Amino acid sequence: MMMQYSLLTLFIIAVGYLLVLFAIAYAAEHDWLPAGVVRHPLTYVLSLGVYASSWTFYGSVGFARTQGYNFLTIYIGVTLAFMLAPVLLSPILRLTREFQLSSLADLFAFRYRSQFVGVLVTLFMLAGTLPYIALQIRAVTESMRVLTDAAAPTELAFGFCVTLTLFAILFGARHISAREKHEGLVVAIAFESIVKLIALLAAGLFAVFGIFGGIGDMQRWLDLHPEAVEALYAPVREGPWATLLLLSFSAAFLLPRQFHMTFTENLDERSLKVASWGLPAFLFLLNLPILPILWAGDALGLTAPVDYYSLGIATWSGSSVLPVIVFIGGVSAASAMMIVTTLALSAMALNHLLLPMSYPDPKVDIFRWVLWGRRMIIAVIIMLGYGFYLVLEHKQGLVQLGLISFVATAQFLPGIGGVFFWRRATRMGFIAGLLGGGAVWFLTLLAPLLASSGIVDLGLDPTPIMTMMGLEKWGFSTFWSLAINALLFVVVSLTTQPSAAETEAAAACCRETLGVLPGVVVATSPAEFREQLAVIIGDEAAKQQVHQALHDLGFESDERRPGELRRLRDRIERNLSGLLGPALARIIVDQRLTMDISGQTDMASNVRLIEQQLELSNTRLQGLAAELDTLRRYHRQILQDIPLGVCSIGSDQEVVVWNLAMQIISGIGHREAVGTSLSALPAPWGRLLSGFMDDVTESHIHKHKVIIDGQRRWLNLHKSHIEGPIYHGLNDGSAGTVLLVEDLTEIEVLEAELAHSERLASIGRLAAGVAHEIGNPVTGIACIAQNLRADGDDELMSQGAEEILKQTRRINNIVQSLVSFSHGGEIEEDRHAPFNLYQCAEEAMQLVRLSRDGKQMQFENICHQEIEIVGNRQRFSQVFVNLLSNACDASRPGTSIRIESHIDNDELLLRVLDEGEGISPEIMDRVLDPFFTTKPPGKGTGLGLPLAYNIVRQHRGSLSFHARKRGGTAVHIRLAGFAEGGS
Amino acid sequence: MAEEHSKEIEHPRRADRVLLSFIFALLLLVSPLLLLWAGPLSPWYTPFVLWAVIIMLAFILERARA
Repeated sequence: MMMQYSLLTLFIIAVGYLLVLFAIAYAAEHDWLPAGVVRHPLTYVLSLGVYASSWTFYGSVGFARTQGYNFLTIYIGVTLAFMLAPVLLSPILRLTREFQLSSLADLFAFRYRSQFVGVLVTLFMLAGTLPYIALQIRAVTESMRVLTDAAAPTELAFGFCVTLTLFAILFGARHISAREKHEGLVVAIAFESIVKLIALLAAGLFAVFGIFGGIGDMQRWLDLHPEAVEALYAPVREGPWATLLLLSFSAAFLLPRQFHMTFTENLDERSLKVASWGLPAFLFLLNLPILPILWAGDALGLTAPVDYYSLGIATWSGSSVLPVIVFIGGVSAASAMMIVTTLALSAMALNHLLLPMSYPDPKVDIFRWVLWGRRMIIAVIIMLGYGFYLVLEHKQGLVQLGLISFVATAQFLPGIGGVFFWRRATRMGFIAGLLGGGAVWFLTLLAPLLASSGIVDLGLDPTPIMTMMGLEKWGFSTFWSLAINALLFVVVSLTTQPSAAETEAAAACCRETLGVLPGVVVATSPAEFREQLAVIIGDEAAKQQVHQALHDLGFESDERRPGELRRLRDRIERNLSGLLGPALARIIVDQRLTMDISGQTDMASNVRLIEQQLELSNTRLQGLAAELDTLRRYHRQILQDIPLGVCSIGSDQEVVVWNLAMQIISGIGHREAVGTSLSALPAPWGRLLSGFMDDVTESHIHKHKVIIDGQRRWLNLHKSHIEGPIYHGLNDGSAGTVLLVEDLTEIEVLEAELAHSERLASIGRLAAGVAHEIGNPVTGIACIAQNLRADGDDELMSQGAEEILKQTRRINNIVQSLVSFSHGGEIEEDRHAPFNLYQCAEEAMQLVRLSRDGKQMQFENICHQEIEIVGNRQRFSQVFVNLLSNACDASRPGTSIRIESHIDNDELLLRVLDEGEGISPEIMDRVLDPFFTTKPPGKGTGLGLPLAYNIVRQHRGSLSFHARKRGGTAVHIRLAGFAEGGS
Repeated sequence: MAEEHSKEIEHPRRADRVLLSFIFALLLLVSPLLLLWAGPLSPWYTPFVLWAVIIMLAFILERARA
């Protein structure tokens, strides 16, 4: 017995189901469902099941009747498209995500840099999709007719449309959102896919087991009716199999609802990879019951339209539940398609029709305006679909309406090729191709549909041409529309020149550039960004956008680094693109956040951004590019690991490179330094380095003393201009400056310790002489004291006391000389002060005379007695001591050792001359090497001459050795910048 | 860095495998081979079997990448 339902009952069931759906979405959005479920790849895969609309649920059975196995092409084409997910869909996903492109119109408007392109794509998409929406309304109302056996009034269809409008707004335009992500919607649509699958499987299982009695019985029925199977295969051999595959291939990702769910609502790229087999598997299961339902309907001789056989056999079952389940499945298929399609189309229409036409006043809250605009567009689209449903004749199969949309969608295939694979494609080429292909689509498919529905009859009937060419309708329309589209696209693209903006966008889409733009943003802080943006989008929206962009990039609100501000601008443009569309976002950002192109065009300024982009996209590099990247990394690592502080500065004084050694020396981290203006570095580095940069006279600073954290540090600073890269023999100018910082503190400490050791060694060598020298006066003092004790004469006592004091002074002088000479080994302050050179030489001679060898030499100090130089007296004394000691060692006893001074213009020449054996030419080059000595072991350290050399260098002088004509060595010390009477 | 970016990019050899599988599927579906499996004597479920093979291929490719 067949169950009968009232229209009201079915309407209440449909609304009740939609309420359940909304409850699921609400639960997902409020985290009442586990995040593991909401974000699971399977949820995403099932949400892509929105592809299966009423066409699949009801229409496939009818399609299988008329076109046999061609009905499967609609799903096998999707399988082929998703099989290519890693090479076709992932690049689209990355691009839409990176540039916040929420629809196909956004994508094309971004690539071809044209608001008109966005408008055209939106209008074409609307025209192509309205028949499809009408199909869904018709499927629901027809299903009601099948179940109630009474024609559903148009008011019911209207009521269904109003209900869906409300739910579409509830799902996708309930509240203000800066990002086009609706987790609740994804979960709800996934739930709808499960409902569709269960409903269709239930009908299929009933067909097999309830009507045929099992799989074996169904096979026996088929054996008895071989024409049923042949009717499936014949259209494959003769019909539009390949055409339908192509159409469904393009529809798989270009239909508005597919684009929206696949790319815009995607939360994780890995889910797309799972969908490469998950969605085809879902569609496979969904199609398994189609043929059993068809055969069961035929076996029963149902009078219902073939499209609704699933409802027919469910009703025939006599069950009160099965028809409701199937009906809910149909409502589910139709509502999912309509909700997602209208959301996707509303985003397009808002960004490319409404906003460009009537941009709101800045005083208006842009978010609220956008929200209400979108709600209004959703209502208009569904009502337009309802209008289409009303005026279309209802003799067409469901699939016919859907395929009209598929051919329209396929017109975007050449444009997609231009987005990802053909940089030369131009805006004009795209527009010409789309208009050409669209015109063919209109004339061959839409116009006949409108004419047959009695709306507009242009008197054009392509049937004779199709018959003449031997092509059926779909093959003819698809071939000619795509052929003319592609031809115009290519020819017009080749005959027009892309604009600079198009070239830039093409490079970004083809991944051939890193999107690093020249110039600096005129606004110098996030606060200024807010002020500028508020002029167009209002205070609140500007504040929110800047805050969002800062948050996305992980920047602080006081960010001022020019490079980072440029990235902030870029991020704001992308975020605004998600809200207002790419064309409008670009206009707003170009107008308010202007760039000073002349401000920063050199290579160094872009190095950091380029490197950041390369780090993120290195795995995309292949072949030579990958090899070059490896080489880049190697060179960069050298720069990082070099034990010398390296700091590279752009022409705007922004730090570009700050290597590891620089971080250790300065204590300033890479993140803190890079991108910062040099002068803004923490003290003392900012002042030190920027001062050095600004000093045009000095390329090197030696042993510059700085106080860091209360510690004295000695640094060598070097700087060098970096030449810009040379392209085709032309230099593009400055590429910045590199600073090298060498920390000499440890060397300085070592030098001080070595000097001290050398002094101690000298003292050791002088020790015997010292003992002798001190011993003589002590003996004298002892004798005098004995005489005084024995004689007791006052006059003698007075003379004796005088003599004791004299001898005591003599000892004291010796001791003071030693103490002064052997001063401690700690690093000394540079006690540079004027001192008398003659006295310094004299003291050194006295010290050397204390040694055994020194006693036997004749020392002559013939320096100018009035010469004073500025320097460290103690250290200079060490120079004389070392040179005189060496001269003693090399000279025969009794020979002369002389120190002379000569003044030549502003140079002072000191000569230490001996008559010894001289230095042989073989070792002349090595005498200044540390630890080189010709003396027997234990006699010399090999440090005397290197130390003397270093001290002279510290006094900005030079030291050289010369052989004397009559034997002996002349050591020349030249002190530059000397003026007589001073230094 | 908060900026969203995916570093999961197809290795060229994996992309080659995907393309080869795609070409294999096309060969099955739109070449003269179609006349073999869509012949008058083919069992009714042959297209489903072919479709299942293609889905299995896509599954294996995805698992290999994972």
